[in-house]
Amino acid sequence: MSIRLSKDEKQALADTLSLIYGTNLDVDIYKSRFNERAVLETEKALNELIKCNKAMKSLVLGLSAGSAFLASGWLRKILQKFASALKSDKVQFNGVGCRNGVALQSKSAVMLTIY
Amino acid sequence: MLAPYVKDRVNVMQQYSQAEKLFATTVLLFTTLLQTACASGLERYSLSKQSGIDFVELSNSVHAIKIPTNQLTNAKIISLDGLMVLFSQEKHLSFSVSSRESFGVPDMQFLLSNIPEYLIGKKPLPEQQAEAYRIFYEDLALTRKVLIEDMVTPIKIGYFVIPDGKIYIAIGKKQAVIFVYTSEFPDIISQLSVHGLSVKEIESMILQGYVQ
Repeated sequence: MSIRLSKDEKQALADTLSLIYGTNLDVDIYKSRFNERAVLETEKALNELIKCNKAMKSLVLGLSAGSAFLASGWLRKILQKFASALKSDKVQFNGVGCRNGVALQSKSAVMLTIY
Repeated sequence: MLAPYVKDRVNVMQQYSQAEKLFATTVLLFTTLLQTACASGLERYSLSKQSGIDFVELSNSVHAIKIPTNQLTNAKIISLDGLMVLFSQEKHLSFSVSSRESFGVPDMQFLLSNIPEYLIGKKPLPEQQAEAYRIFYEDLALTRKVLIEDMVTPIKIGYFVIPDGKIYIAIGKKQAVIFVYTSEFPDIISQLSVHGLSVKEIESMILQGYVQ
């Protein structure tokens, strides 16, 4: 898989990060810098976040047909579908505190990839 | 008018000598103190203050950390929904604030300092019957499992008393999480998430700034 992300992939990653970290992070501004490392670090964060959140875990398992779950590189394979699903109101997330604490713990590792 | 069972207890106590009563009271006091200590599950973090260190104070707009000036050479400091310090590709931290809403706290009665004491110190949470608290407590249990046990996997824990509050420390081999709580901001907890620093580096680069 190429290192460079397509424009659509960068937008999908920005949408995913906005949902994880909230709009305060303003990741849209930095999406031109997004790269494969950003996807991998986001994937690591999501690997922990889905432990907090049954809905997110079901979403990932559903989109990846279960097989890619936890295998490195799963996020890029489903990135655009995943971002679209997150943006729709169909996915209801529980575990707000767990999601918040785990997301904060991963934040510098994700943002480091664009600085 | 004393109830019969109270009368019985008074009569029994009158049978003991002063020395026996004193011994019983001492044992009771010691047991209570021991239970209190065990309930918090956290001990005061032992670290001596080193002199001659110059610090740069960095604020996330609520709480501050003080990092030795010489550690910031070539570091990147980024203000982005809180604060991030990138020392290198492997060593970095974020310092963010979380509100009651961020934790999903059901009401204003719950003391936010209970959260780090539960997450790191395993102190039991105050008993609550409301359904909203059941959901909140389940979420906190999950937070402890994922954030503390899975991500940080502490090899060293403890707390520091700081002016007007406490910091709660959990250091693992690869990650650490430090919570800062002060009574000046009772609705906020700061979360300091650290990556790639050893116990000694965390002590010299972050905790020294809190030592009184």
